Amino acid sequence: MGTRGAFCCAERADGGCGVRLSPQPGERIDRSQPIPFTFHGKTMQGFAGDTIGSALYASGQRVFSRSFKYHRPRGLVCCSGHCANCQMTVDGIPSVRVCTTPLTEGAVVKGQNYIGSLERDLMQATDKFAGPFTPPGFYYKTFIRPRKLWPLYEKFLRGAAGLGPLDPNGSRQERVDTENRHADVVVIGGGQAGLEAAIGAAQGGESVVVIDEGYDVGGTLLADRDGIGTAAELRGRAVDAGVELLAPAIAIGLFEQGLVPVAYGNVLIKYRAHRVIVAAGIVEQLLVFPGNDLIGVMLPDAVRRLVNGFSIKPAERAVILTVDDRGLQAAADLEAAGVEITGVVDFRAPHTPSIEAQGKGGKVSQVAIDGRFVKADLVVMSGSPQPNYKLLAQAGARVEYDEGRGVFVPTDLPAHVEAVGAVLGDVGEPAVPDAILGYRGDKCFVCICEDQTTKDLKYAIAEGFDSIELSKRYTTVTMGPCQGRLCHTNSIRVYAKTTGLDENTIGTTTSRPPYTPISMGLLAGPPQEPRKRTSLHHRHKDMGGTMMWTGAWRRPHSYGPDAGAEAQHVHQALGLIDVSTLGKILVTGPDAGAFLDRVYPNRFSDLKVGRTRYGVLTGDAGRIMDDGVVARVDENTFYVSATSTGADGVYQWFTWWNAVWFMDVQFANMTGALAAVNVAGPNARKAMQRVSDDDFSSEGFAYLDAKHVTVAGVPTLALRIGFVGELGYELHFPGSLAEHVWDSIFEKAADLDPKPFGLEPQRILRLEKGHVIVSQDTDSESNLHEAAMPWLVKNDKEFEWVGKWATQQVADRGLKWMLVGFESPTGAIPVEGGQVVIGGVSSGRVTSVRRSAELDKVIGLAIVPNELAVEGGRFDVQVGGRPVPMVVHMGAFYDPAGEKVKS
Amino acid sequence: MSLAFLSVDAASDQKGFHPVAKSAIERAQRDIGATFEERDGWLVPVSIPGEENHAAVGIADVSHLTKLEVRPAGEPIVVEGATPGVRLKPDTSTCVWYEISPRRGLVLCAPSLGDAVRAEGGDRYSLDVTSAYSVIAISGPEADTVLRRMTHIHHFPSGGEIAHVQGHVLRGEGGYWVICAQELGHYVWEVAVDRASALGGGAVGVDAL
Amino acid sequence: MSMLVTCPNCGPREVQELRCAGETTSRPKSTPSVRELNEYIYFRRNVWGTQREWWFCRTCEDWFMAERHTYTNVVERTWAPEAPSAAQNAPMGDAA
Repeated sequence: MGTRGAFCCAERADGGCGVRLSPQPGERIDRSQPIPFTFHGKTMQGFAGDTIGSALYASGQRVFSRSFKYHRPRGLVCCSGHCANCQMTVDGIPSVRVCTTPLTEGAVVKGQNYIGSLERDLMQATDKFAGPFTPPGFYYKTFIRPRKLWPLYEKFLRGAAGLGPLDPNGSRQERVDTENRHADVVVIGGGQAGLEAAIGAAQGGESVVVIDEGYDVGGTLLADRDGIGTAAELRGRAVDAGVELLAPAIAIGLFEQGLVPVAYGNVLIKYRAHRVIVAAGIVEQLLVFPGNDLIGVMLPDAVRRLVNGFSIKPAERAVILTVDDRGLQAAADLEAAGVEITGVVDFRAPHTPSIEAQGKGGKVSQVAIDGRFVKADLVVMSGSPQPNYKLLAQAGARVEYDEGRGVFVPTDLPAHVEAVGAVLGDVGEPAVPDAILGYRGDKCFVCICEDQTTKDLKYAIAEGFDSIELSKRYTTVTMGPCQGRLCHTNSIRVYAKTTGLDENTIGTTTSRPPYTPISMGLLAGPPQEPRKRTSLHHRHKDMGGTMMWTGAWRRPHSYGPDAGAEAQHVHQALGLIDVSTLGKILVTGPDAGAFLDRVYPNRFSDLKVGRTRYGVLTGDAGRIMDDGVVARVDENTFYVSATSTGADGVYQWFTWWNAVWFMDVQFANMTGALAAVNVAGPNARKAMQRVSDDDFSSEGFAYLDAKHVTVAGVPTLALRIGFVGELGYELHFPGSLAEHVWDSIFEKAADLDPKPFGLEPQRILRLEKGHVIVSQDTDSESNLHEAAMPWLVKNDKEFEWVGKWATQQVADRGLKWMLVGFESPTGAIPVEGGQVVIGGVSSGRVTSVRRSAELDKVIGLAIVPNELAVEGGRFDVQVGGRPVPMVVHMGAFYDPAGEKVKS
Repeated sequence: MSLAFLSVDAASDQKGFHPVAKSAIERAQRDIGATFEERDGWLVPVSIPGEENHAAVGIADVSHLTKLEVRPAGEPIVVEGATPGVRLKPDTSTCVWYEISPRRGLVLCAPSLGDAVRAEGGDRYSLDVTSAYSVIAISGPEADTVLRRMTHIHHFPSGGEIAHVQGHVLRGEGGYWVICAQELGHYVWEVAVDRASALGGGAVGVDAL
Repeated sequence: MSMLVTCPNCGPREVQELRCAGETTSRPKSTPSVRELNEYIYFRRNVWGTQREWWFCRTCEDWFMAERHTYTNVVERTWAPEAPSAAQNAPMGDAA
């Protein structure tokens, strides 16, 4: 076989294949259904029932991959989805384990991790030449100097590292979905024990699903000539009992309270189960001897699966190296398939011979047994299996070494998790003969994923990495794609031999989810980005609005390039802004006023029906949390507005306090239900009169009034407030009617020159009034006094309002900072967050700054030392690296007397 | 009544204005050619091109239902002549009771039954939340799979995370109603239609339910 | 974290549907000293073991209380806060 070309079989005219055995009972393949696929562009053929791996093997392909570090050629080893040796790129998806992946028609299969070809990888130079020079830590130690060269190193190393490539500029290639399912019982592992447990549970009336990573359920039964029949019978009984079977499917982890995410094709299924039964069975282990990673050195069940399941004659001549009966079983199956057994070494015998496998072109060709050469193109190595306890350990089980049986056994299983079968440690006969034969030899691979040899581990221990946890991180042994399933035990045994400690003292490391590598896309799920839209979203887009994020909301930034002009239009004529994102909370009940008196610094119980009052919320630490206008809409009902990003927080804040106080008051968060539009500008009154018969006169609807009106036929709560500094009415009404109201105003007031304005112009307008935006002009340290709002503090209330004590302490200690307005006389515009500098020392910061077209000035707000909080106070701000003078202005920049808003 | 500004059905023709309510998903459906009809003051999407190909699972916007919240939940509100229980296609006798928690009950009903429901609520504190929610019907043989690909909710009626946002699911004959905040209605619609499209389904009009 | 927490209204919920607002605190009954105030605002017991906490359920939008083991994450008990006696205006943290 070793000399045969890679594609010989597929080229046969009859489409059959020379290494397939004649039909045998129980075989998986259906010879009446040939399935074509391509491998490196060549058309090949397998049968229904084949995996990609078995079809390739039957077609004569022996090189399946290149190893991670040394780029050594590798072939099939386990045939059960554990190791990384058969990872290929299938239909563009890298690192697919082809040994368990069912063959599908037209599959496009390619090797990976090589330069040149899979058969002749130029990167193998790292093995031939650099091998002896790349001990653990080589890369850390070597490529750190000279620092300057790192970009060059990086370019090379990034190319050389890793396995299958992903296109960094590529987009998602295929659809993935995330699905939620519930089951009474999730059974992980569909071998004999798992299927029996599943059938029992299902017959007991529970809903049951079995997850198996193999190409079919059956586990190790699928390797055995008679077992195949047993597996089929169990499978049938399970289906009859109503058990759902998923294979190949990977339980990628075992999380709290029965959460089991399962990778099943392109769907990530999140199972929640009342009970999880782990029946993960065993993992056959390597023998560690020189040449143990050559192509053709395989585990016994891998060979038996090929022979008994896929009817493949895997080789011409085989040598058996075994510590248990598994190797002998494989020998019997091979003989029956016509393979000549050229040597059997049973390490249970008193004499332990020295072993070395040797190969040509990476494929095994002979084995030296005590120096005597035996020809073989297949070596079956049986290091005795270990329980596959990895998922249990992840979930929190302890793992102990059972010296008598030579196995690591899981104990102390977490709640909701049970285990059955061989995973509990009953792996057959005691595996006491040592699998570490080639302790002193060269190229004795402990870890075939990460290319770690006994030499590497001893080197790490000699360097002081003598704890298994440190060694894992230093050498990366057990950190490869098999997550230590094939190397964990042997690495611990190498440690035991080297340090003289016993296995329990050395301890085990825990592999982390995912159990087997899965694609990031599957974890990410389908692309989705929740974003909140107001009911006027499409109107903004229709009118040319540029949308921006504010928290989870999308809002119009502005409707054109000149936000300054958009702001000025509000001063001159009429502007409409969508403020639907404002938090809107109804506070209703006999205690509503008393409740608000407790959570706000100022008083609301005396607010008259039909009036509004500004409020700021603080926590007990005295820090400013949120702000908004509160309107009293009837005796028992207050309509509280909050900031756009603060709505949920304020709602939770109110209900939290009342979960303690139990006052007679209800809270309803109406934020999303209601649209809100601010109609502002000198033409606002006229505009409202076009769409409403209600009294919008200065006398009938005064500044800070809240009135029930009807706008364009829609019942509306209108608040007369002046956030943007002009006469304005903030209209609140059902969102479903928002386009109707918006359109009606634009239509009926067309001659009054209405224009929409966005968030950016609103920021200019409010800054002209010196109005604060919480979390823009305040931060997590801001308090009422130093944010220039001492007028809100009403300490004469009978209840110790939330934040009272801390606010009082600020007053008692004396004010250090003050939020003030400033002008930039030079016209320089500092950045927001820019440092206030006094005498070369950083002394505060700019919180907001804009150029006002209306005032023809650069204005802003800044937190400065309190002593500067006087009209004309001077300070510098760093602009472009230079200090630029600023002058304090107390009060509003625009219409300080408030004549406009009250007009 | 001081809370009229919460109610869609309190709007009326006046001064030449003719208020018509729109769902948060109206534009998304208009963009794919939906036909709308004015019913009970709402622009209702009655049919959508290609809906006949979406037999596997249809996603329909039934947000025009009137929604009233009462506190405490108390006894279910039943209106004479109305059929309780979820039938995915709303009609003039639709009146569904859903207890969110002992503190909050939600009624979804035909707009014409709003007043009867309010009267039935008696002295319970009641709020018109019609505009607060979008309601999306998922109907057809693959409705279960679409739902499972959006949410873990599997007891009905119940609330929880749907497509990473908060919502509620009611079960009816042959499918579900998903209730979510209207400001996220367009997004949940988009997700539902996307999940359906992978299963041979898609958007359908209300009359195709 | 993937645990389930039982909301007294909604039953077992995925933890991401809830908000944990931390351990309960005891609000001073009358004007505290600087030290007392700082202890109330900034200091937490932060125990290894069972801790009494505030949780908010985003589904029913109610607050509830829970006893959670801070190491194992096992939520041993949850309950709706109980009304204080009429005479007592119990501040935050004293409700249980």
